[in-house]
Order: sequence, then structure tokens, then C-alpha cells
Amino acid sequence: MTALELDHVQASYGSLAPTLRDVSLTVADGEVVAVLGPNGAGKTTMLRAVSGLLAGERGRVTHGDLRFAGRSIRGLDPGMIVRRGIVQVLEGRQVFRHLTVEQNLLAGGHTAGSLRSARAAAREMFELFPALAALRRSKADNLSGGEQQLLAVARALMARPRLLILDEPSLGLAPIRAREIFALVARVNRERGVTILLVEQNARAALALADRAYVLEAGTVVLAGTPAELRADPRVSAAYLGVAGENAYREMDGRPIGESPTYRSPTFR
Amino acid sequence: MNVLPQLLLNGVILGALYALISVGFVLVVKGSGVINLAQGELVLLGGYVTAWLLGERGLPAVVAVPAAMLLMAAAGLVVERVVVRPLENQSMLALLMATLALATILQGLVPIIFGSEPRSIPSPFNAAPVSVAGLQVPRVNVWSMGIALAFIALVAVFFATTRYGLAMRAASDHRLAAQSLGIRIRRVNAIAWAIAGAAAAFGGFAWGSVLGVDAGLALVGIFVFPVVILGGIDSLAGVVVGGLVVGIAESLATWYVDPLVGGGFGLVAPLLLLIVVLLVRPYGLFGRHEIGRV
Ligand SMILES: Nc1ncnc2c1ncn2[C@@H]1O[C@H](COP(=O)(O)OP(=O)(O)OP(=O)(O)O)[C@@H](O)[C@H]1O
Ligand SMILES: [Mg+2]
Repeated sequence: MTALELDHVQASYGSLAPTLRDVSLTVADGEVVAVLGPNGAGKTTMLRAVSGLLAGERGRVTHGDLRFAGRSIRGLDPGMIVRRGIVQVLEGRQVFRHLTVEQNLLAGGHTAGSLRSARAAAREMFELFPALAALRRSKADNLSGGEQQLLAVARALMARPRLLILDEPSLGLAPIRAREIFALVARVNRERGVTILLVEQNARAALALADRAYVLEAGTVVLAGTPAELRADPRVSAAYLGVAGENAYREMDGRPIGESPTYRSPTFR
Repeated sequence: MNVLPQLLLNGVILGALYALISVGFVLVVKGSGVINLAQGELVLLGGYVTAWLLGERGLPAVVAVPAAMLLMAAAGLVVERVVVRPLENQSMLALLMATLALATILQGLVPIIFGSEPRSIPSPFNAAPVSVAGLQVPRVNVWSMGIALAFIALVAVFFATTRYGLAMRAASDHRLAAQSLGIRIRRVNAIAWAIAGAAAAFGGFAWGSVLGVDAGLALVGIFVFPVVILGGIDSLAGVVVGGLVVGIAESLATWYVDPLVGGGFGLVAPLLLLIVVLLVRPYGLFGRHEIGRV
């Protein structure tokens, strides 16, 4: 079953030229899907479009449709989208700095309907993440980057997502902390059956985790396939995995993948 | 006779009321990032509504004052819906201008609805003053202070123990993150405006009882600024402290300085204090180094 489906989505901020030019993508139930792409490709914008968070940035979806579990979610407000089962961990963690760890979690349980059920869910999170339990009364501001990322994921899980979206969860983390976060994401997928859509700069880790992956460049999907297919692609290895460095990149006429007129992934359309 | 204790007590009573209307202001700032320039005009409207319910309708105070607070909470909801919501995602300046327009509109509208003669609020209490630790205080003042502080305490309990209280704190800490978790910012804003409206109604009643109700009542809104700058917008306790400082400053200045300068200094003192604090500590006495859109 298809969980999330983006169908030729175009989106822009204010009156600027479209940031997302034409993005189509699917995530099946239970899958882990990774999206790679350089800075400014529009990855965050795409995730904002899914979660209904563009309006707050004076942006909007101008064309195409977004569906979740077969129903359109285009134009829904963020609260509605969360209640449909899509929850996003924002880029840069964005914990509630002046609230305690426990209060952060309880706020994440807002859609549970009562503080009592949020408390029950928070207890469950503390069992799942003993590291957080030890910090429950600390202000989130005083946590390390890795702890904050852990908190951000746990806080999102409080809303009981069917689809969990993560925007660069490894950003700014030491390699070992990043590995922990990826292991956590894998566990959430496996043990709780939560579908995952993951945006990452760390292509190696993302491909190790994902069932399928997309490459987004300049607002369009330029490549899609299984991790094995993408790893085998010389342009991916050059631009995202650092294999063979510059040379492989130049061999392919020197242009970024998206600008290469001949290139289309075999598995993408 | 030593007048200082009496002056301090008067200042505390005044300060509790300043704190009350400032709480409404602070909630709106924290909830929706709106600097509400019409808080004083809401107090004005609240005064007229209370005077109308008590005087013309002849309702007993225990009914009229809560009813006025409910009506003004509803007015707060209307303001959020009609003035604030259409401008969501617009600049802070646009919202500032909108509340300025609201203030002007209310100043014009209130006399049209209620007539321009000043009204008095019939005191629900008997005229005999209460004696507090040997000091004589009008009964209405004691009640006003008590209810103002109780109201603030209630708001604090709401924040600490309810789902929406927590949602408001989360939203004021990080708006986008709150939204990403399904917290409805509009509803949070609406609650803030409703509380601001109810607080203004009670402020209108308390001040109207002492000063009478006329257009001048809106001036109390100005004192929100020294209160908030002194106390910061981060905690209700800060607002109470700010309110008390302003109330006491006004009370002392009125007694000691007014006779020297021919009157009026009591009202200027809190604003002078504001300027001095801003010069010395641009972020306020207790404020964090970030007052911006929250
Ligand atoms: N709020 C905004 N208003 C206007 N333009 C924006 C806004 N946010 C992003 N953009 C622009 O849209 C483009 C895509 O940005 P986006 O943040 O989606 O990229 P990204 O792929 O997530 O990049 P990164 O890897 O750096 O996070 C960029 O050119 C950026 O400047
Ligand atoms: Mg991004």
C-alpha cells in the first residue's frame, strides 16, 4: 500500500520562482525512504509541503497533489496533517528550549487529547529511551546536540505517527551520535512499524538504512532507485559518497546530475 | 503619623491591578507575537460593560463582574478572529498597526455605543473601609487586589497543569515546532486573547470603581509597558513584580513629588522609571536577551 504520494508537486515562496519545480515520489507502508541532495535543492521545502508548514514561511504548493493513505492532504493545516498520522522532526532539532525534557514530550503528545494520555505515552518513551528518563527534569536547552536529537525524535513519536519524517537528523552530530540516531530510526521502523521518510546529507548512512532513495536537485527528482542501484551510479558515488572523488564527476561531462540532459534513472518513470 | 506603610499598601493594590492587565498583554505577546496597543481600550470597554451590567441592568456584582469578564473574553476572541488572524504570517509591524487601529476604533466606538457622559460603577461593597494591619483601605480596593492576584494565580495554574496551558508554552517557545506536533496556533492565540479580554474586564471594573468610567480609563493601558519592561515577559511572577514596582512608584511619587510640582507626577513616575531602566538595561530588569516574535 502506498502511504505517501507526491504527484508532480510544485511549490514556491512568496512570488519567487518555484523552489520545487516538479517532484513526484512515493513511500510505501512500512518502508524507509531516503532523499539525498545538495544544499538548497529543496529537500526541506518538500518536507514542509508534506507537513503543511509552507504557509508559515509565506510559501505554498502551486501545482500537483499530495496524498496520504489515498486521501489528498494538499492545503490541510499542519494540525490536521499530524492527526492524519504524519509527524515531522524538523531540521536542526528545534526542541522547546525553555521547557523540560518531560514537558517537551507532553507537548508532543498534544494530539493524544488529554494530558493524562500524554503522560502515559511519556512513560512509555522514558522506558524506550532511558537516556531521556535520566534527564526528564532538565531544560532542553541544557542537553547536548545528540540528546536534543533523541528528544526531538521521542517527542515526535509521542504523536503516534504512521509516517515519521526526519529532516537531516545527523546534522551537526559527532559520527558516533549520528550512528545512534540512525540505529534509533531503524528501530522505530522495525519495532513500531512506523514508515520513514528521511532527508540526509550523510548519503552513506542514509543508503545503508533505506529501502529506496531519491536524489533531489534544484527542485526536481533526478534519480531514484534502491540503495544498491544508487551506489552503483558513478554520479551518486562522486557527488554524495565521495568515491573516486572529482574524477568520476568530471567524466560525466562535469555538470551536476540534474543538468545532465541525458540522464534519467531507469527506475524513475 | 508615618504615611509610608499606607503609601506602600496603596501601591501594592494598584500594582496588582497593573499586573492583571499586563498578564493579558504578555499572553498575547507570547502566544501570537502581537504587541497589543489596544489593551487599555479593552479595559475601557470592560469598564463600560461592567458599568452597564451593574448600573443599568441592575445585576448584583457577583453576577455582573463574571458576566462582564465572559463578555470581554468573547470580545477578545472576536479581536483574534477579525484583526489578528487575517494578518497571520504578516510582519510584526503590520500587526502592531492593526492593534493601533483597533485602539482608535474602540476609542471612537465606545462613546457611540455607551454615550459619552462618564459613568460611575455603583460600589457593590459598603463604604466602611477595611482595616489592614492598622491601615484603612477602601473595601473595593482590597477585593480588587484579591481578585486580581487570584486571577493571575489561576492563569499560572492553567499553564502548569492543563493541556492547552502546556501547548501555549510550547507555541511561545517555538512556533513552528509546536505546529509540527499538531498544536493549533490559532486556538492557542484565541485562548490568549480571551484571557486578555477577561483581564481587561476586571481591570475596567476595578479602576472604574475608583476613577469612574470615561474615555480616560484607556490610559491605564500605557502602564503595561513599564510593567512588562521591568518584569519581563517570561514569567507571571516577573509580571507581578513589575506591576508592584510600578504601582508603588506611582503611589510614592504621587504623595511626595506631586505637591512640589503641582500634581500629575504620580502618573509620570512609572514612565520615567521605564526610560531609566531602558537606558541602563535595554532588555529590562529580568528579560532575556530576546524580545522578538515568539
Ligand atoms: N522561508 C523561505 N523563504 C524563501 N526562500 C526559501 C525559504 N526557505 C528556503 N528557501 C529557498 O528555497 C531553496 C531550497 O531551500 P531548502 O531549505 O528547501 O533546501 P534544502 O535542500 O533543505 O537545503 P539544505 O541541505 O541546506 O537544508 C533555497 O534556495 C532557499 O534559499
Ligand atoms: Mg534542508
